[in-house]
Amino acid sequence: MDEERKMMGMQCTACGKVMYPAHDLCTKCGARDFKEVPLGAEASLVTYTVLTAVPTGVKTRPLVLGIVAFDGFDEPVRATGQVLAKPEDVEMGMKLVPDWGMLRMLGEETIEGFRFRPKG
Amino acid sequence: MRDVAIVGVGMTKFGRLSYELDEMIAKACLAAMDDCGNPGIDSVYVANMGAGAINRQTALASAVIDRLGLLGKTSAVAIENGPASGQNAAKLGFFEVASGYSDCVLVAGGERMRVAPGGTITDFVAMMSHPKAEYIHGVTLPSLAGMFARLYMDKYGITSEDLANVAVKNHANGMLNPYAHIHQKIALEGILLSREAKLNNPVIADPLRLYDMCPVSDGAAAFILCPLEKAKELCDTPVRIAGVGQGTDLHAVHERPDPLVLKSVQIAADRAFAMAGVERKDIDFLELHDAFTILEFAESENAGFFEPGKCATALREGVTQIGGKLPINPSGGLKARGHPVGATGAAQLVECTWQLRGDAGRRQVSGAQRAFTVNFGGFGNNVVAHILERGD
Repeated sequence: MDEERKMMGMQCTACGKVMYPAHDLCTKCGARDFKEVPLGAEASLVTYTVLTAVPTGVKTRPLVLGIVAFDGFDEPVRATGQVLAKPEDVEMGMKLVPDWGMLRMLGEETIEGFRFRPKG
Repeated sequence: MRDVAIVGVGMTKFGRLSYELDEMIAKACLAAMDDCGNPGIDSVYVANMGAGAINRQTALASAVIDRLGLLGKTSAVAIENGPASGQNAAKLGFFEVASGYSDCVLVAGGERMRVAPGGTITDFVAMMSHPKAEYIHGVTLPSLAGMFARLYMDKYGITSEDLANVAVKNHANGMLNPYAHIHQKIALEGILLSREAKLNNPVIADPLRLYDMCPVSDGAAAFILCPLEKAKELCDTPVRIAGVGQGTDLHAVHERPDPLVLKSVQIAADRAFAMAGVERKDIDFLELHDAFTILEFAESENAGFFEPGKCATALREGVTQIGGKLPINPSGGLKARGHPVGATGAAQLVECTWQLRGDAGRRQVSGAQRAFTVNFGGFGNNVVAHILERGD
């Protein structure tokens, strides 16, 4: 695992809105200039599902998928991703940290990205 | 703008069909043409989502008009806008007639999905989620619905039983619809309360179970649009398109300020009502896009028919049953009629037409004068709504 890798979002230089994923125009003020900012090391689980019908190319079954909200923002900054925990250990509000690794196969291609694992 | 009416409708049965995709769509078109005495067609719109990905066929509208012999001056356009393709095609046909450019437009939708394995279909549908922020993470439409349902149930105190009540109602309605994919009467006992329920109704995207989800279906539906003045010569009961609305929203569900607010549904509904000049209380029944049981609640509430979290109570009190004050999905909805994705929006308008004409047989909503319908694209990032009323 790459310890230096941080999950990044885009911040509008005009109004300060932080977005993930990126947009070409700010979703709040419509400006076009952004800077890359770290989304933070800690997030809380907003909602989740335990998916037994996983799509082709996903090896984990069941797959826990969740929406997380990053700590330390006034307006919510959220992301969707895989939660690396047993279904019985998952609960809304639990603290998670981003964790880089394999997400799925798309055809022959291995796709990597951030997942979320329980803190600690 | 001219007033526009639906004068002829047709559908194949939904389910597992052996027809080729273009053949299936042509059958629905012929039924619609026969329904109004084969008027001359100026223009054809064909709604479909997966012909290229599933059926190795592109430029579907050209194939359909070739089958129908509608060549030369007839224009042909295929529409792909996710599961909202059907009512999107209707919207374009409406404006083509309303503007005076064409006098008679045929709108069809069709999908042939059962030829592909389930995993392939799930993945094909999932491709409409956000490519970087959702799809590559393994997100599927059932998973988005599962995450939405958990938040909704937590906020409003809604239970799995409330969701199962939607399935029970829509299956019962589907039993009365000869075109429905699923003809299976179900009860809470068998899908939720009994010891066998876990086997009958396994969890797919917790908290959603198998019976919280629509089936994967083949099928086609079609209708013909004319100016209202001409419509009265072609059929006994023209059905006027009184209002059309469309709304869009952020692609990634997690980016929406409140992920439980379906802004696209609110905008599409408000626009359709403003155009029709009527109120929610003037609507006699709803045809909603219940790809998941939770969406029947969320769409009816966001469209302004119930307070947030209250549709489940209305369902328990019988309000949304056929015979209730505001029936929802008398056709059986996507849950029982089935969901051939590109055909669904067209099928919703066909059902509204049958109901408003009084031709809906045993599932007839008594005295229905005006209908509201929602065709929900993506997980609510692109939604079309229509208001239809009797034009006689």
